[in-house]
Amino acid sequence: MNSRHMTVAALAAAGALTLSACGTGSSSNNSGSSGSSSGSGSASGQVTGGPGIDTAGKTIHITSITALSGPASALGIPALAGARTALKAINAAGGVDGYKIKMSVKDSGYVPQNHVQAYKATVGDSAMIQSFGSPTTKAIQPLFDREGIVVQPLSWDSVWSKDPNLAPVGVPYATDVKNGLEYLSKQKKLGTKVGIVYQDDEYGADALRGYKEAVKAGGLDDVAQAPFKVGDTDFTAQVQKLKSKGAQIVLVTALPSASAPIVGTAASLGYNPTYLFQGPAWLEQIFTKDGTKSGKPTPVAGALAKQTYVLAFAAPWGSDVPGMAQMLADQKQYAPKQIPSEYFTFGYAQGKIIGAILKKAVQNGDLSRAGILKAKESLGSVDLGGLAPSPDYTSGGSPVSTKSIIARVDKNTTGFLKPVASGVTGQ
Amino acid sequence: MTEFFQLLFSGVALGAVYSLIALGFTVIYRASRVINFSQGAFILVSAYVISWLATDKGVPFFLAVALSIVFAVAVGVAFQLLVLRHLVGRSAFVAVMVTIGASIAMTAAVSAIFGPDQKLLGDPWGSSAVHAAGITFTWVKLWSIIVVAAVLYALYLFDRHSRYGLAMRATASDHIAALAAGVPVGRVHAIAWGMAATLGTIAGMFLAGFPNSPNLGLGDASFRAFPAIILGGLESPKGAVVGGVSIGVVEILTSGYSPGWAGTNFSAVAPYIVMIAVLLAKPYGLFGSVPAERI
Repeated sequence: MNSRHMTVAALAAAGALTLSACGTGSSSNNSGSSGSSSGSGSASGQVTGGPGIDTAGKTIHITSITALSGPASALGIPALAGARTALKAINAAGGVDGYKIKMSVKDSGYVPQNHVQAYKATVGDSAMIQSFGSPTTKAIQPLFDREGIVVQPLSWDSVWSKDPNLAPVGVPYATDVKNGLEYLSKQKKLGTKVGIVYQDDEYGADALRGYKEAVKAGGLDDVAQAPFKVGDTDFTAQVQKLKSKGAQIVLVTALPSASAPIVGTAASLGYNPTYLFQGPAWLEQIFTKDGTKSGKPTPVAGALAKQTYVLAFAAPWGSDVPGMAQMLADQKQYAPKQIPSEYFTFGYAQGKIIGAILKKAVQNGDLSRAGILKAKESLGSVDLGGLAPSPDYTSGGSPVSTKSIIARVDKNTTGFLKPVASGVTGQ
Repeated sequence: MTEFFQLLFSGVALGAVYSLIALGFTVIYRASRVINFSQGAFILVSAYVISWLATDKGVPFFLAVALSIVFAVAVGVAFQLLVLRHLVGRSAFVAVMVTIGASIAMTAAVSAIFGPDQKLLGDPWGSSAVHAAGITFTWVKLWSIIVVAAVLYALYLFDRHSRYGLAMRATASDHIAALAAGVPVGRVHAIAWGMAATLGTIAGMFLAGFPNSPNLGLGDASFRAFPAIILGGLESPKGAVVGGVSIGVVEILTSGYSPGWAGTNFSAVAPYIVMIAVLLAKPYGLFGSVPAERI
């Protein structure tokens, strides 16, 4: 081989990686744009404005930086549809004390540097920001911490609760894992030998932390830990390890592109443990091609239907919780083509939280960044009608929710998730 | 021991797919001295086209594969004729950057056209397998090994016993001299791109087969095959196969038997350690040829 060409190849590969790692260096515009500051509070009926606030037009501009393309778009699209539906319903009901919420959308494709650029391009005109993903949100974290804007992550990283600018919804990964493992082993009595197959990144590390805490709490026997790399296509080694060690309950910390092959590989090797899917591992489309009951089953549907539990982000579609009927009515009106989706439900719950925070800020008479942050922190526990665990942002560093929702994969249930337990907490 | 042989079989099957990808790199490099960074995109496009034809349009699976090959070859040849042909004489770096650009464009097109939803390949193998001595041999993996052997033999026949095989070797040796001798170098380049597209389609079919499915990350497998071509020697089809199988086996075995002290990601590093070790002993790869230069 010609060494010159080898050098060129290496330079090109390094160049591509370098390009993908670069962000822009300019600082963001932190000034209000459409907003105009006026008045001093609700007592006089006036509201202090800020970036993204149009007090004259009574409009609050927010931005969702999400993944509408790329590998995570199957998750980002229904979540965005859910949030939009909730906001449309809020606006149709008069908005938040007369203010309409207008959400702009930026697609970052789940690429951190694109996320940073989208953030910088929109933060000056946004009162709040939604941010999809853990690595992407971490990429903009120093920026929003500096600017004091409230950001709602669509991610469940355990560190979010320590950042006052963040308004997460749901149970952090580590807490969720601990709750789920203890529930299946100690309450459902499905075995004490546990194993974990996890992707070797921040998401996996967070799950592993919860897994170890569950084992440390006693009563569980950690028989195998099997990491894999994002992009792996063969999981024989991981499955073989779990099988040979006799893991009875296997925690699957993966994305759907890996969770389905893991289960399929295990089934082909004659290994059928109880699976506990961490939230991001599940997607309706790994059961049928289009995610509906009438869709063509995937090759792993049979194995999934045997004994797979899911740590759900949100209440299973159509489940018997107080907020479900309203959500389904809103979905029918504003997103009629939406198929049953856990991510839609979760996005809808996030939209409700945005509405609650902004309503509180309007009532406080302060829609400045500091005012919205103060509103979030003083909101107290928000009742989401059981659609998602109710967050409480007053806890100061503790997880905003600790009560998990556990569902079981069931081929006869719309959305394929049958409710098993909610409000599950560990020991 | 059963566990070892199970992992070995999976490693050989994975390596067979890496070999197909590596062969795609090799045929283009031999003909045009271009390292084709869009090979992964061909894998991705082909898997989605097969899926679309077989599951959405009801085309019989193997006909869908054949049509996908035709499509990929058309795209590959058109890319060579319309774009790369005009870069003759420019630095290799320009051509490399163009293939990177093509890869990004093709991946974005797949995302835009087919959307984010889960796809099924529609392959006839599914989870079917044969079991012997406690080892599970899934048909999709068995076929990947068989097909690689067949493809390698076909490439050998083409290379040694066909007019264009000879032309390709002449072009690989010295494309200016080949041109002076009347070798249709442009056509040779187009054939090479067609062959690479075919190899990419076959690799895509196996990569997206059970238990996987067509997904937007499929093309990244081409980067996993990169150590294989360096290990085997970028110009050598034989080296691509030996390198591919070696890397597949190393990856799976280190994933199964990785010592705790080596960290959780040792299986990702191991192929590169093997590659560097080989390059220290044989700087042009196992089967690479040392260039002779007139001083």
